[in-house]
Amino acid sequence: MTTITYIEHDGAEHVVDVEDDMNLMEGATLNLVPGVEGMCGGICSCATCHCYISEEWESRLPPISVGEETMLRTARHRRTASRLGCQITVTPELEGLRVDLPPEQGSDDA
Amino acid sequence: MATSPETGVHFDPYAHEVHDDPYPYYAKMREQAPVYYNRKHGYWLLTKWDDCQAAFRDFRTFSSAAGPALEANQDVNAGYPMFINMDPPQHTRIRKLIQALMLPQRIAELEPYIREKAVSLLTPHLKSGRMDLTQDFAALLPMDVISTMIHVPVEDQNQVRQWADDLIFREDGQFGLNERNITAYLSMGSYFDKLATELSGKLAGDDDIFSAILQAERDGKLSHDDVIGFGILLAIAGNETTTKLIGNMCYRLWQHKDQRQLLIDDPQKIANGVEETLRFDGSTQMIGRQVMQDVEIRGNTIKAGERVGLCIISASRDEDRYENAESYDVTRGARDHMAFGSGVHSCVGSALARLEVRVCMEELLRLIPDYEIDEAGLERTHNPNVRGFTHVPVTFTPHS
Repeated sequence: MTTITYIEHDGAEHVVDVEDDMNLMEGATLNLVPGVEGMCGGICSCATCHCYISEEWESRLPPISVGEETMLRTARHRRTASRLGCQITVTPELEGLRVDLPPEQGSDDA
Repeated sequence: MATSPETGVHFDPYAHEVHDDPYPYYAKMREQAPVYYNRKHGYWLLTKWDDCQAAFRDFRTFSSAAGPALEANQDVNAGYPMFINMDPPQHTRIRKLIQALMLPQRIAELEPYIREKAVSLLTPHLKSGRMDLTQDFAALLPMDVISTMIHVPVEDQNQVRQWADDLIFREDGQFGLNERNITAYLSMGSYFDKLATELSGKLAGDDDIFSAILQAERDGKLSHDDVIGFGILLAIAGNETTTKLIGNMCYRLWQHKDQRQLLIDDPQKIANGVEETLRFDGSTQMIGRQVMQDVEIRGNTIKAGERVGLCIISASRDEDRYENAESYDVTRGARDHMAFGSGVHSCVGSALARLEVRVCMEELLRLIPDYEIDEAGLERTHNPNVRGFTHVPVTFTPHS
């Protein structure tokens, strides 16, 4: 188990233990954390697990794949720190990670 | 038909008479009984987008452990284990075995194969100017494509398709499984038992679904019965709903010829047309859940142990979610419909289904853009969950 903190846009924090090999979307949805929807179930097809991860963690994250970038382009409120939670597998290296959530989930072209 | 006396609304998704056009029933339920209770069989239906989405999200209250059918007494655990009938985290661990294979960027590698297959199925009929879009095309392609991932040999594909058809078919008013359904299920079980045993020594690595599953069996993550359950599930899931979606799209485009012309003039829009067909006339009507604790929705209390159908196709026509929800607009392209479900159990094959239907429609509209459906010859399958045609006879201008 790895401890991850999800922070809603209004500042509400949710500290949860996530099973290794689950991804950040699953860590949130399996614990019913508000602000993460994960509508497509984790196959990088909906951009409703959009989140922000600060630069200091970048070296411990997988790079953004072509598929993730394609979906991120449609996400509302995109920033340089944007990632899709379903594409980041939780490992013990991510212990203590803080994940900020956007004001809302969804795509602009939907 | 069961009736809610308070509202006068009645809907029986097992009655064949509602299958041609269930949409007026859904509209009436959304308006008068959005949380509908069927007294005859004792199940609830959620018909609003917000309610379905919330139920999908709250997998603890709305459990999948008793399966996705509406029938209350179906003992899914008597059969082969399938991850569609499990809750997280066990469900998530098993789903993860194949999830990476189903990402859109990975699935995209199949596009040339799918296109070639689509053309090869359509070409023999071009000279005659007539064909059955389901039997000669839409029913064959998804089975062929999923077979490349689950290793069903060409000579067995028609048999496996027939079992899948027999497994889902419900007689008029049939609530629960009959002998035809059970025989098909057991036949598929024996078939995938034998196939898995034959392939277990031959397949290595995790480059396709069955290889990944057999590897998981060798790694002790799955039992042999799990592998058989996977085979049955994928043969059904990879078949029925994609076939039916192609048929539904052919029908709706024929019915709305202005929309068909938009796609013929600009094939780039076909992907949006697929999304609109998923929303407007998707091939999955509803998905069942079991309520684990009393829950109140719009003033109705659903008690622990009761069955609930999430009517995703009604949610997709919800006027509170979509402008002009009852209009078929291929340029809309909304992807927030729940045609593939939503959340943890969302269809793991959705990228494959989207690709197959898009490529099939691109080739069909290129090769036979002026098809006319012989409406008298239309036949559909009958199942409360799956919606679509078994026969779509068409004529068109012959050419070579």
